[in-house]
Amino acid sequence: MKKGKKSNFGAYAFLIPAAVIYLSVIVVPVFYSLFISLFKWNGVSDREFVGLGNYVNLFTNDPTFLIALKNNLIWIVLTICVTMTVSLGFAVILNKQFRGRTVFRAFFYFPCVIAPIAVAIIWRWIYNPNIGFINQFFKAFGINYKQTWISDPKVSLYAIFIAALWQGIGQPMILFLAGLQSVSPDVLEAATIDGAGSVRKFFSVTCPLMKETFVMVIATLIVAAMKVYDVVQGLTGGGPNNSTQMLATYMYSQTFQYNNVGMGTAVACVMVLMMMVVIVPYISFTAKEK
Amino acid sequence: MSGKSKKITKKVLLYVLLGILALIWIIPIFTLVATSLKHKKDFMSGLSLFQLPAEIAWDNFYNAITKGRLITYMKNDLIVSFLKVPLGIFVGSLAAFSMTRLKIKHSTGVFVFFLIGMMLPMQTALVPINMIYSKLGLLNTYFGLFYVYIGFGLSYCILVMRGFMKGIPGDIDEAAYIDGCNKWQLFYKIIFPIAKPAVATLFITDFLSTWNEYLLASVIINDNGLKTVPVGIMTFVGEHGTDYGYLCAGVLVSVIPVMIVYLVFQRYFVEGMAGAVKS
Amino acid sequence: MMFKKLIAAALTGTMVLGTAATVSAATEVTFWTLNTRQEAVEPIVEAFNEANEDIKVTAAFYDTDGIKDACKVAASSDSLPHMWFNWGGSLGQFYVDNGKTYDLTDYANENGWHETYSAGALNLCTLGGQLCGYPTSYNVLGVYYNKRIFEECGIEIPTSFEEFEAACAALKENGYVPMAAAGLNGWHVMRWVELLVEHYAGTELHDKMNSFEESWNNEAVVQALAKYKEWVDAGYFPDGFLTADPNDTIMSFGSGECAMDLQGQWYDGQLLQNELEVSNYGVFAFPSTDSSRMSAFAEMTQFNKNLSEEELDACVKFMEYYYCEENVAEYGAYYNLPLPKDGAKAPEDQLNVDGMIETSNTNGTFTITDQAFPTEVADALFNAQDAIANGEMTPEEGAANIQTAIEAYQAK
Repeated sequence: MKKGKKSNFGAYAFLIPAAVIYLSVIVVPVFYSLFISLFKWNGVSDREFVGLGNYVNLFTNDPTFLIALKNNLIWIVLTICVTMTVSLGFAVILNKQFRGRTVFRAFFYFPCVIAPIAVAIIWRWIYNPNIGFINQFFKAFGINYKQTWISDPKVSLYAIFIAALWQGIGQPMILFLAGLQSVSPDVLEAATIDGAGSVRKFFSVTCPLMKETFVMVIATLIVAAMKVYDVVQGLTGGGPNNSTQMLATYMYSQTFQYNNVGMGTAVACVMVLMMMVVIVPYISFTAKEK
Repeated sequence: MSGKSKKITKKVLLYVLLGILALIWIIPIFTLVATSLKHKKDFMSGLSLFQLPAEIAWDNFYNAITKGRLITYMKNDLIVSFLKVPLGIFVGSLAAFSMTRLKIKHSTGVFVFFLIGMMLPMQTALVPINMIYSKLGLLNTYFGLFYVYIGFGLSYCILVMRGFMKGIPGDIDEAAYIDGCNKWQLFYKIIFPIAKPAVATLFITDFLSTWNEYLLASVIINDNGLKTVPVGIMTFVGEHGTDYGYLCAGVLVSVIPVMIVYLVFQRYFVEGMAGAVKS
Repeated sequence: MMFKKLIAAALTGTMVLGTAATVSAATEVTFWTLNTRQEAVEPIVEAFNEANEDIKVTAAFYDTDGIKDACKVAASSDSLPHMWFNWGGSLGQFYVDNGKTYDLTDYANENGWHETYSAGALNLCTLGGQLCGYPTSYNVLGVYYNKRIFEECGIEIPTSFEEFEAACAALKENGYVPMAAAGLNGWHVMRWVELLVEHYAGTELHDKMNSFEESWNNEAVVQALAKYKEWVDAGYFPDGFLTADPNDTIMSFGSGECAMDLQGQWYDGQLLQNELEVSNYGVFAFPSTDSSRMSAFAEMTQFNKNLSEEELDACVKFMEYYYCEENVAEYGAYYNLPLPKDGAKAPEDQLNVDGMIETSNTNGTFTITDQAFPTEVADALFNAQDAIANGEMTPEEGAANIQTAIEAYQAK
């Protein structure tokens, strides 16, 4: 290792391994995708340059794309409002000292280790209108209520979201738990001495101290919400009648089923751009203020 | 004393709340377990999906492991995951270290640049990576797989490590330099150990996402002896029918390594912090 | 440094794997197929390689969707295997249109395939004017019904469309769901809908519509979709069928909740695998006005365009070995039987198969819609099915939408 002064080269040397891998695995495909999205291409034949034609087509002439866009935006709002709150709640509860804490932590984390295919199967059965858990539950209590859940275009998106919530709280919960650990007990004690109640302590001391954790959780949740694929594909495949179509499922259809690789890649580029529009300013903003 | 009884009431409330949540959370898990214990004919009997079968089908587990070759798939997945996760965390931490603690120009810009990888949907990488890999002969190799995984995991790793390292006070660096540390020593003797909770978190989340990755694995690997678990599990879904008992048993078995990793590393949250407070 | 060591270890690992391939003069060919057939293909490949020292076959296995993606990716990066499993229709045609498949027309003529293989199968493997694959199975779809339920409700096998509807009404009255249906991914519901289209359009128009010579925006399609909506509203399909998994219809059919299911001759094998008594179930051709044609589709092995002569011989030799009688006898469960050869018989315990094939020969067949249509047009039909069932779309709009999708596809 180089001895030494704060030579700039030394500082950049730490970046080299990451940069090499990143350039070869991520940057090449990104540029390739940007390039491909300017063509009409079925993946095999000759490419035909169409400029921004794919993008124009998506926004002006493709109702399915607009549905997918809307669904992804709804999904982002849902994850930020619900998934984040719920997982923060779980983390706060599971951060307390009590017997069986490890077991409960593992238990609530468990759903996110299950393969997506199994999650889709389980939830399809829970939502099954005849033999499914929910409707049978109502029946057992003598409530005459029947819902077709994921087959009903008005509720299917939210029904899928519940399944995703069940599976998805594990990861943000882990991040919050780690974040809560990094809040030093001394600070909290000082607040207690100052007479702060536990709710106030949480909002005015703990939360601000976990700012970096919130950045991480929000960023990853937004990205995950934009890319949501498995659970939707498994439960409804984007149906009924495209009502649960997402950008990722639509991109998949365009690329691999309709052989519109240029169009599918354009959808992907729109996804990346949208994520950047939301996340980059947010990150830079939080990175600047010290 | 009223303070004490208040404390007890709080504890009781906590357990009640946890109990209710656990009850809701367990329904799907119970479904999974109950399904894994069913014979094929149980699905045709009109038996509710949420009942245990009359005769428990332990052989689903046996079959999943032997006929389903789960052992081979798990071995492969373990190799790939245990190469990918530590290497990925190491590479990512180095980068995060240089962004937060060394004076590089435009460190926010560099960071944002590295974040883009998180936003790229894997599907778009399939064709270019396949093109490059088939030229370089990297298809059907462990290296080919975990190298891509490191690339795709880097953004998240850097996001988490950077967040954590930023929270470590700058005085520590000054003290270390005065004690004669160079940058490398500062990294691996001081900052990296302090970042233990973040490393533990990453180990869990990274291991999980590597373990369950399906899309890239299904295209880069087609040699049976090298397949990973999620690709292997798909074997149980047929062209005209699915053997659910078998599938769910396979899923439950394949979850074991992830849960072990989880249990081992979640302990370090607490421990890791103890180190940070000491300094 | 640990990092360097690990990289070094990884690299040597790769190299070892790389050099492990034996260096020999044997003709090496690769074969991609479905993982559901792995139990048969692996030992067959092994036996074949042992018997033929000059050929080395390597097989790779994919799940049903995985093989479609893997082949597309491989085609894009020009790394397709020597031969790969594929379905007929639009899925197989993609590789023909893009010049990726070997045209077997001449080879078949020289080697007398027309005497061995059934005409129907060869027909379905002939796309864009070329014989683009080695036919491996020929599937026809009929209405499977539960004999006990039919008897209980006093229903005879319907011989006309009116009788079929009467049977449905009787079943419903007796508390059964008449028809199993599962709308996830669209194609299972489509099997019923396409029969309604066949019924109202008749054979000639239906064929022309499937080849896009005639518009789908016509009275027959509207009538078919309206009838479908009528059935949905009458509760002839299970509740929430729109997002049910097609692989699960056997659960409601096997448990006796549903009285009929629309399936291909492979369903006998499925019934057996699920420990159900095949003799309790019968099959009839859906009675549509004209001739009660059945829908049909083929599966095949496509060969790579760039095969050398030795490789082509090796591939065909392997296929013939794979589909020879002894292997079929030994690994019967892993084939879609009967083989697409003239005079091939189904295994004895699959009682309905031979009858189905015979009926299809007398009644005639039409190409199943999701293979006749490119995927995006098929999806327009699937969306119409969903929306009409949910009351979001009228049959008229549905018919118009399908035609719009066809025109958009043709303009591509």
